[in-house]
Amino acid sequence: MSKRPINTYASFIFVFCSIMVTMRPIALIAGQVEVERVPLNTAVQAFDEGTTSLLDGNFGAAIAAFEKADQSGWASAELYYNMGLAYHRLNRFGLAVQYLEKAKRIAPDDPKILHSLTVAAHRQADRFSQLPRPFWQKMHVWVENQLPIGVAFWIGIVLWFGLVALITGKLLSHWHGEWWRRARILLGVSSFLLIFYSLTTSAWPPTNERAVILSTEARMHDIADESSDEVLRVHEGLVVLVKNRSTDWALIEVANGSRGWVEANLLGTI
Amino acid sequence: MKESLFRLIWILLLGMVSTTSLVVAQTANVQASISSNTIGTEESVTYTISVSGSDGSNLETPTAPESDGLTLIQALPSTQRSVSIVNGQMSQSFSFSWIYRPTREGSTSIGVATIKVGSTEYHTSSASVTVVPQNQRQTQRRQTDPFSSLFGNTTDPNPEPPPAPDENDIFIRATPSARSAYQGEQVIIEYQLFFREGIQLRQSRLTDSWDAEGFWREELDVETRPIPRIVIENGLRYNTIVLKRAAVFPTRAGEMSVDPLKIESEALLPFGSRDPFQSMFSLRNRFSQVQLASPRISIDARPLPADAPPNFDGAVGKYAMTVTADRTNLNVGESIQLSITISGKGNLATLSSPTFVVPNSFDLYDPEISSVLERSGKELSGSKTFRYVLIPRSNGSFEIPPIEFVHFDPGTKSYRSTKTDSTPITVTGTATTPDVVVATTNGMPVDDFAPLFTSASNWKEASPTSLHDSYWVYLLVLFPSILLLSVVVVKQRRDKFTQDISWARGRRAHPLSKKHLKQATALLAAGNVPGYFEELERAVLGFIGNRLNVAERGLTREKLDSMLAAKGVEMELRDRLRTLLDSCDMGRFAPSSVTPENMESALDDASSLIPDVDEQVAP
Repeated sequence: MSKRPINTYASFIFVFCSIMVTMRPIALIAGQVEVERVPLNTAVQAFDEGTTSLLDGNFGAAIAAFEKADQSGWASAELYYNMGLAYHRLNRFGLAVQYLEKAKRIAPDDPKILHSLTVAAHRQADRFSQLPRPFWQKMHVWVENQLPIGVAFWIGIVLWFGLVALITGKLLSHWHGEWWRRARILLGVSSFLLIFYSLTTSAWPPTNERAVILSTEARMHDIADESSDEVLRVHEGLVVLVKNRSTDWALIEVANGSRGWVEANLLGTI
Repeated sequence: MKESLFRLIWILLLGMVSTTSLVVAQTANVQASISSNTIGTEESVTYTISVSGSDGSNLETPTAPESDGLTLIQALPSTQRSVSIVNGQMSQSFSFSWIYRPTREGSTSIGVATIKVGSTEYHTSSASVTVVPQNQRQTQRRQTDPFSSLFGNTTDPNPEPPPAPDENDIFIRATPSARSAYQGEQVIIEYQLFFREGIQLRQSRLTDSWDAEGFWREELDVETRPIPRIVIENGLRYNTIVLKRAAVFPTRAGEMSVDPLKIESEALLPFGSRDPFQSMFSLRNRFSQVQLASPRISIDARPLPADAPPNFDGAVGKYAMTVTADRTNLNVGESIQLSITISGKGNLATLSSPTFVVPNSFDLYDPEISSVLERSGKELSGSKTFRYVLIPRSNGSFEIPPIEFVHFDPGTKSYRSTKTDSTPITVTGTATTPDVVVATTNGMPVDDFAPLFTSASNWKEASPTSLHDSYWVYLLVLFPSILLLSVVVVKQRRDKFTQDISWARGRRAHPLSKKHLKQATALLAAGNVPGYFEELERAVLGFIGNRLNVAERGLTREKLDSMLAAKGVEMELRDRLRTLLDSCDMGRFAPSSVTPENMESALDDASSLIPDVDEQVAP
């Protein structure tokens, strides 16, 4: 049995990746939907209008203005925080938590947001222990925090261009030494790993979609059917992980690992 | 002891007297009916007097009434007693029946009968009977051999068809509560099925959807398993049940009609075949299909009076309104639930909420609407509640002004207005609640959310497209690959040019010959005859040399011919080549003998020869 040279395997991988990489943008361009985005100053004006209403105690008008800013296609932690505060003043606890969590996603270390979330957590009716996460998931999250996917992708692209430059030099000039070969291998492997990591992490993030219970009480069912057995009863403002979705139902997981199906319209996505 | 005995006897006597008084005081109900109001000359009619409300002890047997066209078969009546217990109450009824036979054709009647119940005499009404020739009553009186179904002839090719009931035996009556009503007024339509006593019905169903165009319709409840009630219509005894009861509300003024109610059923007539064995063994076949329809109902809808008050919003009926607030003392930002309930009889489904204004500093949200309809009664009634949520955004004393509801009452034929009192609301606290709460050491309020952000920075796209869903990402990855591929192709081409001389000369043959022909054309224009033919020869020989990968210098004509022949070039083409080369030699060495026509012809020959040779020597 003859042994194939390493260049043959590299060529196979190269051709396969090229086909995949070629097909994907075609599909994306074909299915692209134009998103209308209003100018930023419209969003800022709506935010200011909502903040004034909130200061005046006109919470309904404040929410209407903040929603206008939210629907403009722009977002900020301050906008979401103020929306959460307005809903809190109207005793819409679930929506308040939903927008505080949205604010935290943008500004995870902001003390105001963290304080308000702590207050909200004390008011939430459910108490569940936190199930330890598997080490690989922790590691994935740690890597993502240390090396954001956008940064990893751009480094990968720069290295990929460098690799192409080295191969071109080899073909057209006399860059044939051992060090050139090592440089090509290093750039090839590192660019592939970085681009692969960034795209796969973007498609399959290490943490599931999170959502908040919006109704006063929600029943978790064994299967996605109203008449099925009740697994658990959770209450407004609880943050859950969404493991799966169907048209009208969502499979959620609470902190202690209990899972069940709830009606999808009872959840507010973070 | 003796006193006690007397008291007991006295009580018993009093009880007996009072019981007797009750019986006597009871009102008896006496009704007379006939089995059929149309009979044949060979048929008979049964006349029955029914008495209910009597225990029978004080009932005297009546005598049969006289009739001029009918004769009594027997003077003594057949009697029947029936007892029924409904809701623990026992009741009895007695009936006395006589059979009459006609003595002539035509209309006749059975006279008034008198019956005495206790000390009271009751008189029945007379009953009309029409006697027709027997041949018009064939289906009723077919004589059959009672044993034929048992002893042969079981496969009768023309079996007796089941007797079909006529419109007097079974029919639907539609009764509207009013033939004329105001627009929006409730009209109840009741559909009753009447069928003669003894007729059995099965598999009854509605055949068409019932429609009432121009009306808002609401169904009222009827018994799903009704117990037939006995009534006497035109002297005949019928069972009757309520099929449907609906409330309709005219949505516009004018004459409008309600479609008939149609049902389909299977009916078994007790006065069908007289063959007892057939009746016993072919019961199933004796049911006949009947299709019934109620008459169409016309209702005249009148427009409402023109003097409607300004707050009138189309409500017609008999209504009352109540307004309640769940609290009247609250803090800024808390909510009040204001419930407006309208109850009564009418079309509640189309009722809209009364309009009202709230203080400027109150937020008013859309109401939650709920209705409760009572359909089990004779009319549609119920209530409709509008629940509004109000949130004050500043403190102070406020007042929700009186709320007015105006409706038109068809009973009094006038517009009526219901107005509530104003509702005082006291709001305390301030709008900026976070300012008054106690702050923690890090400046945050205790047990409350942190204050709001007064400005926002770091705006970003609300939902940017994920990296893996952006097409430019893939184009960016793909671009260096295409660049690399291009470099490889160029490198390979360059290597082939340097390494494969034959391939390189072949690739160069066409461009070189074109270059020489172009130069020859220029020399022709300049009038340089020897130079022209020299370039022409170089173009042709250079092309062939490149194609055959040989040096054209020192190539003799014979050698060229043999090489072309070896490559399979045809004789005719080789001759054309030889002629062209001879012309070139002549032009180069004896230019004065060449005419301009010869020169142009030689250029055409060379231009056509090169592609022909290329075609034949091509690998």
